[in-house]
Order: sequence, then C-alpha cells, then structure tokens
Amino acid sequence: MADTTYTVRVARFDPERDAAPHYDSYPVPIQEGWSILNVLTYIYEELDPTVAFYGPCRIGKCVACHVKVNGKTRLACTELASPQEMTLDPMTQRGLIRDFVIDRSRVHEPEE
Amino acid sequence: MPRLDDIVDQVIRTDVLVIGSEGTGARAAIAAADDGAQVLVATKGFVGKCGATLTADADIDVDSATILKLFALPGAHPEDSPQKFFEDMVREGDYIGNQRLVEIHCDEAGPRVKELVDWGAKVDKLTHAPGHRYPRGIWIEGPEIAKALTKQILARPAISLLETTMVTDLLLRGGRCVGAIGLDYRNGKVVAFEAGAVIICAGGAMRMYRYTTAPDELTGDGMAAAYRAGAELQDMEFPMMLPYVMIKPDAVNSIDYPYLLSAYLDAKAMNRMGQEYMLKWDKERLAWTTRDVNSIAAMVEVLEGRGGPNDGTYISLKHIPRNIMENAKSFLPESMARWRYGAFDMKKFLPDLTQDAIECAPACHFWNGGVRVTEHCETNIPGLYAAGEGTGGFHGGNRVSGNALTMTQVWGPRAGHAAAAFARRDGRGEADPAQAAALRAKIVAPMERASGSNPIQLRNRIRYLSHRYLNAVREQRWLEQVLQDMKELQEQAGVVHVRNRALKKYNMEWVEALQAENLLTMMEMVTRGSLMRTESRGAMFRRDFPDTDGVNWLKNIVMRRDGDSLTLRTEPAVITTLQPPRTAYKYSEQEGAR
Repeated sequence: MADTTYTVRVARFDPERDAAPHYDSYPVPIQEGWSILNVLTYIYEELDPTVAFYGPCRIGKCVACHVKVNGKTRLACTELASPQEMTLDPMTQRGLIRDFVIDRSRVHEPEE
Repeated sequence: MPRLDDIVDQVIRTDVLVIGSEGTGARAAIAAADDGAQVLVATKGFVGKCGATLTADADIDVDSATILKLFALPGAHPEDSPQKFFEDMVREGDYIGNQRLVEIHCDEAGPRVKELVDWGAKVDKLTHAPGHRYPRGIWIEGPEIAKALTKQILARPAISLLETTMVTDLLLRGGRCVGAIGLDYRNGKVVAFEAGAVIICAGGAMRMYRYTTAPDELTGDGMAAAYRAGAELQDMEFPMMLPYVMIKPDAVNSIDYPYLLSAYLDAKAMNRMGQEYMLKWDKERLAWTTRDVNSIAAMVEVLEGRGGPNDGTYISLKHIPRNIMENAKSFLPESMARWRYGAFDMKKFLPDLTQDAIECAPACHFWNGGVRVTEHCETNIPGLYAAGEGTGGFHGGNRVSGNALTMTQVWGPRAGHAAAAFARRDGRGEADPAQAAALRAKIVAPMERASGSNPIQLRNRIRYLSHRYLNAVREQRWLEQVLQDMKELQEQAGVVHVRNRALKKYNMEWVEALQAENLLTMMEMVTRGSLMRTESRGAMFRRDFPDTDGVNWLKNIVMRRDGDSLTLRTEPAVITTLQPPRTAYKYSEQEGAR
C-alpha cells in the first residue's frame, strides 16, 4: 500500500439530528484503479465505521450509489477516483437518511 | 412475561412473511397475494436495488421446444423437450440433484418465465450455454427482471414492504414457525413479525468468499436462521466458483471479464512462472474446459505456491496476433466488442493484452446447497417455507448456466401458493414472548458490549480462509485447519462489538456484527460437508479423493442442529428416471463439453 495519502472531505449529515451538514476529512491512500466506492469502503473499514453509504452490487447495476464528487453526480462504483484531494457530497438532501444514503424505499410504512 | 409489543420496537402482523424481495421473493409474494393472503416482504436492501437477481448476467433456462412455442425466439430447437432439459440438469449436477424436484423445475420453467415476459421484462436473445444440448438461455438483463417484478409488487395492495431490514432469526411456537425477528437498520429498530407462514428467499452466502460476483447482502442469513430454528439443509459443500475474475485494480475486483474473454478467445492460463498449467488437467480443451476444472486448476497453483502477487493465476491473450484480435470484434457480444462491462469501460482497467497477462482468481458465484425442501417448498418445520438460491436439491453438485434465474421464477410462486394455503388453514401464529426477548437481546448485544472483536476484521479473516481453503479444491489437512481456526473466530463472533454504540441509525457495522455468526455457520457447513464427502464431485474437488465415487456417494449430505452442534447424515439421492453411473470414475470425465 502506497504511503501517499490524499485528503477526502466527506459530507456528514443526519437530517434528524444535525442542523446542517459538516465535513470530516480523512487521509486516504488512494491507489490507481480505485473507484469512489473503494474510497468510501476504505474510510468505513479503516478510519471511521460510522460513514453511511449504499451500493451493494458494485458493478453499476443497482444504480443506487450516487455521490457528488467535487460537485458532480456520479455512480460511486464506476467512477474512478483521481489520486488527489476531493470532496464528496450526497446526491441530494431530499430523502437523505444519513451521509450518502438516500431513501429509495417504495412504500414507507407497512400496514399493521 | 411482557407482551411482544413491549419487547420489540415494532410488531408487524401478516398472513405470509416473505424474507427477500427480488427474483424469488417477489414471485413468492405475488403468488401468495394472488391467493388472497396479506403479505409482508422484508428485505435487506431497497426493493429492486439489492440481491443477486439484479446482477445476473442473465440467461434464464427453458427447454428450447417450449421457447419456440411460447416465445418464438430465433434459434430455438424443436427437438428439445422438458425431458431433455431434465436429463442435462441431472447429469451436469453430477446425479445428486433431487430428480423429483428437477422434473417440476423443467416442466414449469416455460409458463413461469412467460409470465415474467408478459409483465414487461424485455427479452434480448437466445443463448446456448455449456452443459445444455440445445439453446435454452432466454436472455433478460437482471435490472429488467427487477423492474418488471417491482412493478407487479407495487400493483398489489395486499403486499407491504419493509426495506433495509435484516431478518436475523425465526420465531417458533409449539414446533411451528410463527414469524421472525430482525433489525431495521435504517433507524435501528428491532422488528418482530407474527405470521401464518414464513418463506425464506434470502439467497446464498457468496460473501463468505474474498472474491465473489454476488452483492453485499448475500451472507447466508436465511440459511443460518433456518438452521438455528432446526431446519435441515443439504448440499452445503458445493458453493460454485467462477474462474478468472479480476483481482486488481480494486474498482473492478471480482468482475468476470477475463472469464468472458476466455470463453470466446484462446486464452492461456499461466502460473507465476508462465507455465501453462491447464496442460496437466485437460490437454485438449485447456482453459476451454469447464468452469469447475478451471477453478480447481488455478487454486492448486496458488496453494502450491505458484500463484501471482495477489494469490491469483494469469490469463494471457498475448499469443493472439493483432489482426485476429481485431476480427474478434465481429463475433464477441456487442458490449464486449466495445470493451464494456456493465457501466465500466474495461479498457481503463485491463493491461495491454498484446503484451501483458491479467492476474485472476476464482470467485464464488452461486450457492448450490441450502434448506432442504419438498416440491411445495416445505421445510421440516411446519409454517416455514424456502425457495430460490439458498435451497438445496435442485442443482446437485453443480448448476448449469442460466438455471439460477429459472429457479427464482419456478420456485418462488410454488412457495407463495403453499405458504398462503398454510396460513389460510392454520391462521396467524402467535410468538412466544420469551423467545422474542432472547432474540432481541442477541440483536442489540453488539451495541451493548463496551469492547470486543471487530466485525470487519472478522469477516475479512473469514473471506481469506474461505478463498484459500474452501475454494474449488479441498483437502483434509486444510479443512481440519479451517475447523481449528474457526474456534477462535467463533469466540470472536460471540463478543463482536460495534464501535459507535450511540449510532442507531444506518450503522453498517451493526449489520456486519449480525452477519458474522451467519458467515461462520456457513463456513462450518461447507467445511464439515467437504470433510465428510470423501470423493470429488461437481463444484467440489477433494485433492486427496480425486475420483467421483458412484458406488458410495450417490448421496446428499444433510445437516441440522442438535443442541449447539451441527450434525451430519447422508441420504440417498432421489432418482426417478435417470440412472446415474454406479462406478468410480476420474473426476471431470463425465463433464459435458463447454
């Protein structure tokens, strides 16, 4: 693993608890051929297990892992991460559950 | 004892609870709802955006004559029949599939897939995959299937959904399954379900492996919950491997593009010395032999110390002249000719293939075994049903291409109808509050422990061991080593803890903590089953028992819980009309051509 790390600024937000989003910065040793999903996974596994994201298929089929990379909306799994500083924001604040997870549920509450 | 409603955060009551929402679960829910049942679907991700169906690559098998009749697809062959499909499926499964179930599978495939197409799933073409004597693969992309089924679910008011919910255990009373309990991780609520009948459609456990083509959810939750409830499972020693997926770079890890290249071009498989190791296995077909033999050969190189820097072997196309490579565009599938895989531009990730080889590894692709079921998807527990991947008896030792999706479409509806009838007859069950309280405590325990083991490290250790020692090649000494190492892992799983305990909402580490036990249960089943099966068959090659033993092993290994331990027994394979070879023969000699 290369020693060079790059600062990744990650928007953190729980709309139920926080008045406004804030950024946490993480040093990430971005490797050639990493996707944005690899960056988020690295942060989750190695630095901060509280970062929340969704994107189980990892191959561009569930189309549910959108992230804004330096302001541009991309699929985290298929977007390559440039080895440089970056800022990651959720695709939208609408229906945001936490951090990058958008509520994609079809029916909110089941019937009793 | 307090009431159930006071024990958990939410109680949902329904006629039929379906665990899993995609290919199988959606079909089960639709069938049960159409029979008049109230249905609750609990699913680990978001509907239409989770599970293995979506990621399928994506042929659905129906016999060619029926395809001609129902779909009139060009290339379909009138000489095929459900009977011939049955024969191929039994033979390719190395004769230990349950022939009674396989007969139903092949008979009902056509009408069930027709329904899917009538619901709007778009058919691309017909394909002819290895192991099939006729073209049987109706090509429908995974997302097309997910879209069509989601629409059907939403059109039925009798079906309710609870998403982002991991069902952890089943609720039992008087020997009957009366519901389930789980975690809605989106808000950290413990949810109990009281139901007339429960159907497990939660898929396989491919995420036990370091490299896998399956999405994140597939950690064996349904099978493990069934096991803890006392259900029987079978054929757990046969996880299926796909040879030659990408290892590096990380963005495309586990993508099977090199395997696809090797299916169309004369790929050479090499070890770290550049030796063509397939010469030892199949001089004639080399890397064009079957998927299992390729996986076995690759893992032998790695385990004997001849693997590459990432514990893989290599696929090389360097010997193919440039103009031949250029011309390949004329016969490669369109997306491959453009170097596309899903939404990836593979040119960015592959080395220069005129100069370099690709380091690859076998990845876990499918789970052949699972909960033991009848032709009505009943388990040995009244009120508990199971269908789709994660049930055993259909594919025997090995699955033919395209049959995973057929399984979802045939068996989901069968389970849905049977469960709806059971619920109608026996009414809704009532949970035992004491059991619910104990299972709730288990769910919240990782959030209450101030210290303990790290679930992420634990699963990485499980994946590493599974990749090396529970891959397509097994051997007694390695299997015994896994059992030894598992003792420590089981201790760790017992004290797994979540680092941020205040974070109830969408805490991914909490979900991983709950998955750890399930992964270890799966690992133990694969290991113990492999040790017991002293022969090589289907997806499992025992290096120390390299023959297929038709004298002693036309059997299924059946597993169940006895107290706290896993017990194993064998049952003779169910044979109706197709008689297997009853001799011992060299593994892979009975394999069909690729």
